[in-house]
Amino acid sequence: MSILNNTLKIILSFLFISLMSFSIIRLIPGDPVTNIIGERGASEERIQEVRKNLGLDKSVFEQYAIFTKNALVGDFGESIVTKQPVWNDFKVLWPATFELSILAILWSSIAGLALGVLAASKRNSFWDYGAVSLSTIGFAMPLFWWGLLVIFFFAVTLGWFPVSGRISVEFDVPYRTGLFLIDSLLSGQFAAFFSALKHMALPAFVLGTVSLALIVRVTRSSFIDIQKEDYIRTARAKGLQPSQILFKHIFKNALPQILTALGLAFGQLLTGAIMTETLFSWPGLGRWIVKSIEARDYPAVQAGLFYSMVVIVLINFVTDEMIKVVNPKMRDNVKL
Amino acid sequence: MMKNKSFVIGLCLFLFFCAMALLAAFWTPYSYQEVFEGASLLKPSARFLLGTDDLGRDLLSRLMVGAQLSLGIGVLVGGFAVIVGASLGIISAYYGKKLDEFLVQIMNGIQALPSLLLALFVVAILGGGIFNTILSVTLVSIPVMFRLVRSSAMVEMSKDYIVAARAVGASDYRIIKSHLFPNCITPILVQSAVCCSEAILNTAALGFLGLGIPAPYPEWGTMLSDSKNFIETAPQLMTIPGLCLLLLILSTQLISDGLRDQLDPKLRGRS
Repeated sequence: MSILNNTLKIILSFLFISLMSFSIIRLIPGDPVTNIIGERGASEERIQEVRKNLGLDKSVFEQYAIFTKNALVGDFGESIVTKQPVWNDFKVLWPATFELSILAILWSSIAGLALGVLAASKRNSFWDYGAVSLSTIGFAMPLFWWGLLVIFFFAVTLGWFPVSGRISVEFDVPYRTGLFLIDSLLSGQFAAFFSALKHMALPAFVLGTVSLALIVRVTRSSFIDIQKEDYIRTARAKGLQPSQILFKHIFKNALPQILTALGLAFGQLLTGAIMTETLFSWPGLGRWIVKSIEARDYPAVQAGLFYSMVVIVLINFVTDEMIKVVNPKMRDNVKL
Repeated sequence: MMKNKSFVIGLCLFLFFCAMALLAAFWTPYSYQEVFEGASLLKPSARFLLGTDDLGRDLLSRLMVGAQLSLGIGVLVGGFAVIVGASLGIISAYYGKKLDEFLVQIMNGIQALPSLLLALFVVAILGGGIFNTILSVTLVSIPVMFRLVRSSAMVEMSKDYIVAARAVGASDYRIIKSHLFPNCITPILVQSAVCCSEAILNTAALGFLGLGIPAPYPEWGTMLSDSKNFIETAPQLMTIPGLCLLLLILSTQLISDGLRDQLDPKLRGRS
């Protein structure tokens, strides 16, 4: 029942996503054909050709059916700017964003968990106040200003890290996965690996800050709540080691909330990636979306909208399933 | 109320920016558009208290007018979110059934994308400009308000006093106006402050990406984006507008936290 339900949900979301990205090109003021070939120098033949290429000679329903069918296999037509299938651009760009996001979520969840636990176990200490102010300021911090500050301090003043790009130009890493960190190791170029890591350090640091604030806050408050529970008192009374209580009792019970926060953090990464990638000229999806919007490259915008929605639906789905794994109460077959 | 530290700090900061915006309506050191020949990228001095930008415009004047923009948009969007989001939420909870399902589906649809991304796409469709920026930022702030108000209105709906009001023969309008709305005022107030801060942040983010409020308006996000190339020569162009932005957003968040702690004792002390 639960699988059926979830499949239905995914199909519904897919239909909704495709409808949204289908309508976007039709909501733009003006004729899409003129948008593509420009006002002047359009012969009647050319107009008909473009019209046919876009499938505009068919009825709206047919158009939608074709669009959905193509979208299912990731085909959104050619980008107006690069004259390449949008899928090709996407294929090259996504590893850059993926690599960056993974690194960001990794450091922020490790640091966030550690700080959150520390703050909760030493309430009203320096660490606690530090964690609370960090998460308060982190929530209010405009990511792009934070990025500028980080660039100013670490790249301009100290000169420790490069400001833009993915790797130094002198390295030529053979393409395998598209993830530079992995490709460079696979080809045995350790210098290239460190160069890629160095380029990634600042953007990943900035990108992870938003998630850090969220994870610290959720970890701290859920740990504090659980510490007040009766079963923790029982465990203490039994004489269990504090570390045992921390990991076996508190952590296990806080996990669902922390996972929810992680899912949220992943969703935020997408927004964060737009800012971070624009700021650091990182050749990834976020910068691509902004550039496509600026260039009025509608097939690319459509694809960007579609892909980001798919990613978000997937993240939500995975988070839900993971929470069910760690929290038996959330499973569908349990009657409370 | 005044014993709540975060609320007081937030309010003071917020009032500071209000004063700044108000003052800018009557007086700024120079016009925010006035270009001084040969005075570009100056360090802070007696003539230009915060220095000048790359075109030779006074930073302080631009900052003050920028406060008007950010605050104005924040308050406006907070207000819109209350008017549209909160009323839809209450109506949805009150009438229930088909209307409720329909509204919830629409809000789910709007929320399918993170707010900034959606605002970006809306601006992509409609084009930039002040009006479209406000429209897109408002649109993304409505669903959260809707959800919160709807869920707390639904709790109220199940209580006896609503049944009693019905039994006395009160009209729908009367129940909504004098029973549901006053009892949902806490989430509405708290969330309107959150909407305000989100709106300020999203507007600045759109401006930073070059898709928001166009030049020559001194929007803080746009100013930050312009300052990128002068980080080394004139860091104050980057640090000061950013700090203002952070403090303004922080103030609205502190106010909303304080309001929540104060108005909803159940949540007190849960940060």
